[in-house]
Amino acid sequence: MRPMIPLLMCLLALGASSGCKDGQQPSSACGAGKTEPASPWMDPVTLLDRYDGPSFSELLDVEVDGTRVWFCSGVLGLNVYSFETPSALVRLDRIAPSLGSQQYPRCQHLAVDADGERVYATNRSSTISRSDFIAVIDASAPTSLTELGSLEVEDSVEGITVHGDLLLAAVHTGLVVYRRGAGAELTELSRLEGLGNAWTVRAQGDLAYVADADGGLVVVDIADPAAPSVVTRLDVPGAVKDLELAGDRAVLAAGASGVALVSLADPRAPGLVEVEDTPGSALGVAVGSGGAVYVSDWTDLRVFVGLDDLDLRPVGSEPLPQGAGSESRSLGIAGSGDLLFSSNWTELVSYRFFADRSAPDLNVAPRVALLPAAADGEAARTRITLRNAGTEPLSVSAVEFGESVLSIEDFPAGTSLAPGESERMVLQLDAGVTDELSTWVNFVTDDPDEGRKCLLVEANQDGVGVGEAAIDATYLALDGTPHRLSELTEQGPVLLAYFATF
Amino acid sequence: MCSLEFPDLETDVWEPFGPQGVTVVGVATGGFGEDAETLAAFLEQTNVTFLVVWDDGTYGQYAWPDALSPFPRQALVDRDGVVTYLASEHRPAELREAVEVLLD
Repeated sequence: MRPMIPLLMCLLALGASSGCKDGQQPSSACGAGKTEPASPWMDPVTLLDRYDGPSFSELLDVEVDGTRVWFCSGVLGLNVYSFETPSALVRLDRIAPSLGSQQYPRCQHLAVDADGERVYATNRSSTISRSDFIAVIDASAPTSLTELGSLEVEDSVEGITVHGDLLLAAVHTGLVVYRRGAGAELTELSRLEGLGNAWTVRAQGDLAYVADADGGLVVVDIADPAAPSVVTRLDVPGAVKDLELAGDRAVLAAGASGVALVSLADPRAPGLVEVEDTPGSALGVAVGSGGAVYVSDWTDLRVFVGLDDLDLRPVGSEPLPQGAGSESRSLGIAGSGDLLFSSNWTELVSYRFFADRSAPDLNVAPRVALLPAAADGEAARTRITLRNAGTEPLSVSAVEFGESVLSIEDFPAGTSLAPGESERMVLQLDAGVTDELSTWVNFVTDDPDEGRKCLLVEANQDGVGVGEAAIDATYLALDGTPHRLSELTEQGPVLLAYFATF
Repeated sequence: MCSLEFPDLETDVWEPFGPQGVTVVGVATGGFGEDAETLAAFLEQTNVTFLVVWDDGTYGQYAWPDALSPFPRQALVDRDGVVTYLASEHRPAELREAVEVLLD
């Protein structure tokens, strides 16, 4: 996973907010208070519990070890919970390594050794700094975590894994191999450079597999850990950010491309089997029982089956739970049999996947419908898409509007969508409505997870909107070269991507 | 955009659509006190190859949907200078579709 300390700053900078997105339906919007419609289906992915931490904990990596689940939190440090009763997560302990800030430990990534005795946690020294330290934690008494020591490194560590007596670290453009000694001892054995943008690493036998956002899946021979060498690189569409190994296959979280399935029948020559698209950006992936694959997809969770027979099939999605905050994102994920653990910016959530259940699953795009400016006397229109991402037909029994000036063309109640089917439609705002509008549309369906799927709608907001002329500004490049927008658009469409470095 | 998503523009937009005439411009808002040194270090880490510029105050002039949402913010502008897509987060599938409409 990438450094995400700064994401907290995004939140702090803007303060807490609420909204109804992807299933979050606070009382102030989305027609709250109405009875959820009955569904004949049972949700294949059911929320079990949420940990009881404070808001904005900025959870990152999640790992399962027996009946314990570990997670890194930018705010809280390294945490361990028991899931002996999965529906009642119990915190065992948490620790903020001594080298970092006690108020803001910036725990990023973690790896648990095979017997659960030691845990390695990477921590960022500061928001801007790209140098990290690796804390070694004695986990033999999980209710009383003890720091054994820490190793400062001049790297931005993006993912780690324990492999026998080795600790492997993906460090942006390279792979660093450490020998794990007694206690906190970590000795750097080697450093392989030449990777593009390494996000994480896993290992099996004499081979390490690196998720390289720029270079796909990189296979590294670590038979001699003092002299690792690249065996091959597998091109994968999208930016590979996470991977999990499962015997002779691997699953990759491939960013905007979705989830990729790779055959390791020849472990030194992986073969891309397929890539399943996801609507968000696949950041994390985990493997469950029965060939299940769990994916954190930025704004929700996705569950697939078919790993065993090399044919991934979507089963459904799970929105971020209510109250997670409209800014929250699905980041880390871990699996243990039919249980999955998901981290987002605010909390850890446990779910159970029921492989014997099937159900429809409604996805609506965009997440927020922005009605463009319309000419005088004309209605404002924008296109929205409904998709059934589930495994049973979806029936839309009604559409509810937060304001009577909204309507949808050509979408009668009773419309049914087959599994995988999409339906495009036009959302319309009556002509002559010029007041600023923040409202909603609910799609009432037999989706057992979200019987009322809420779409936020905004119109007539202050500022330049869709359908209006962009600001023809002159921007200065870092070397001082001016670039006027109208000159850039002469060459074709322009995407202005506003960003900050946090 | 937050640092987590910013490099994705390289693979999600710039690499597939740059050869078809789409220009990607990373607009540094500097809203969190970034100076030239900070920005240069950040760009070195992210390895992006598209154009990066400083904002001159335009950020606050767009009607971003979901105003409470943090970065990223994206505005897609067509050849006539008209905004065709505004987003307050990086939604690659939506963005890809919006770009493809302009290339048809």
